[in-house]
Amino acid sequence: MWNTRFRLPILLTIILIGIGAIYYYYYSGPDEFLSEGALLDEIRDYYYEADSSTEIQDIIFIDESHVFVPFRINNIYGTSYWYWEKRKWNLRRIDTIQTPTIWRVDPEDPSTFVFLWNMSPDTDLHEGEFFMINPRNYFVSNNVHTYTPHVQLSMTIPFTGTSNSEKSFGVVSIPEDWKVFLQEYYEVEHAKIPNDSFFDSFFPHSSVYFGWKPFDKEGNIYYPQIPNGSGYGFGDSSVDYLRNINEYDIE
Amino acid sequence: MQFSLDFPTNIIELITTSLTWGFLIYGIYYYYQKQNRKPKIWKACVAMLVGLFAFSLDFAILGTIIKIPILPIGVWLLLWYAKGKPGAWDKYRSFAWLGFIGNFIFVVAAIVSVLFHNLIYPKSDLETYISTMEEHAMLVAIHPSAEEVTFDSDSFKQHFSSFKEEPFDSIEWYNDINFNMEPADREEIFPYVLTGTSSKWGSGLPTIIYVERDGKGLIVDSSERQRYFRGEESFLKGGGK
Repeated sequence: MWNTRFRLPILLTIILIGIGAIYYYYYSGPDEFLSEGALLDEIRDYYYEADSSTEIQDIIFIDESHVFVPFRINNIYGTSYWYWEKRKWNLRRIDTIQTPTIWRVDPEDPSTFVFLWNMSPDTDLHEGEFFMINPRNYFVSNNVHTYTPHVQLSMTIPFTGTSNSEKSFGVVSIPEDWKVFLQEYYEVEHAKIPNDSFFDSFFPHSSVYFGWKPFDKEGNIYYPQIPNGSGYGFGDSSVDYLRNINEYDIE
Repeated sequence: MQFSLDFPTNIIELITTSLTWGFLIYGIYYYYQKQNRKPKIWKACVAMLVGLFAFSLDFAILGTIIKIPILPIGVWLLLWYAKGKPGAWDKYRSFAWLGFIGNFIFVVAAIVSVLFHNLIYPKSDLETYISTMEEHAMLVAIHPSAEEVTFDSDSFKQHFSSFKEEPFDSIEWYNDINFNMEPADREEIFPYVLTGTSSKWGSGLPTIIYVERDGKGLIVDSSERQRYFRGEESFLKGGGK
């Protein structure tokens, strides 16, 4: 029989263990990253053509719990994005589409934003101009005016893979001044949402977008043509392809 | 999540919210003392909290959303629950209604806090938005038409009081650029952002400050509506102008 004297301590212990288990499940740090073998198995789930010659080109930790794994299946270059959640490594996205991406590792913290790519070196692609754009806008309501200046920042990224001996992939953090702008911009946009409920941890809809313009050696616009590229995404949209920037988008 | 931790706090809202809760706690104490048949204190608290639950309609007043309670859902729930327990409703009724009344107190508190906020942090005063400046306050160029200029903080401080709020026409600004110029020729009116400043302590206003090309104008964007300020002297050093 249970003695009433013990009932409370036992109950407390059970609650504590429960809280501990939940905390461990959701917040504990990551285990060792997947082995090359495990990664190859995962890749084969999406690309049946992945044979024994498939190569894991590198394993790049963006931070403790976000990992970028570029891979190569013969002459097909692919990227995969992994994150640690609920006690396992999960796939965020895997693709062989030859378009660089931006990964908002923590969507609320611009200092974690990175550009990533793995581009076939067997094309004329030489370099890319990467953009962050917030288009000029205005808004009038009850005679109250709001004007949004056009924000347009860019950086040039050489695709060194084009010289064959070098890497075909890369990870580059967005520049400091982009981060400074985004930090302030997000804070203000976030504060504009009525301070309602628990739901405002949702990321605000933002008009800021990221894009690119690829060039060949002669400086002409050149989009690498890779047939049969495909991609699979899971969960949120923290990984975005860079939009193709047209002449009328930039000032 | 450091992003939300260093988020500026609206001290007025914090105070009025705390006072409202204090008032509700006092209300529980008051009715507890008054009643002959004493309820369990924790049950009285729960009755009050459930009583707070109401169907309400949202109204936008003074730039905030006010929730006007209409139907006392929580009180009805408790009434329904207490039906099967003789005497229970008499014991807890006042606490449930206290909760529902609490919604109105929160409405009053919200209006009062907005009024006080406007009084203590005048919205047409640049000092509300730029009250302290860090050592490394600087300009960040945000547009290709930006020139090689730096922020002259001495000049800015000197002429700070000359900055006055002025009305502006966002449609005109937009059309002048987007309809009259080809994309490649476009010059942004506000090609810089001023960083390293903070709004007045306790205002809870995050800001982004766009700087006009001539260095005499600022757009302050915050959770409030946008404000446009013009001063007499440019605080930009270098550049063609």
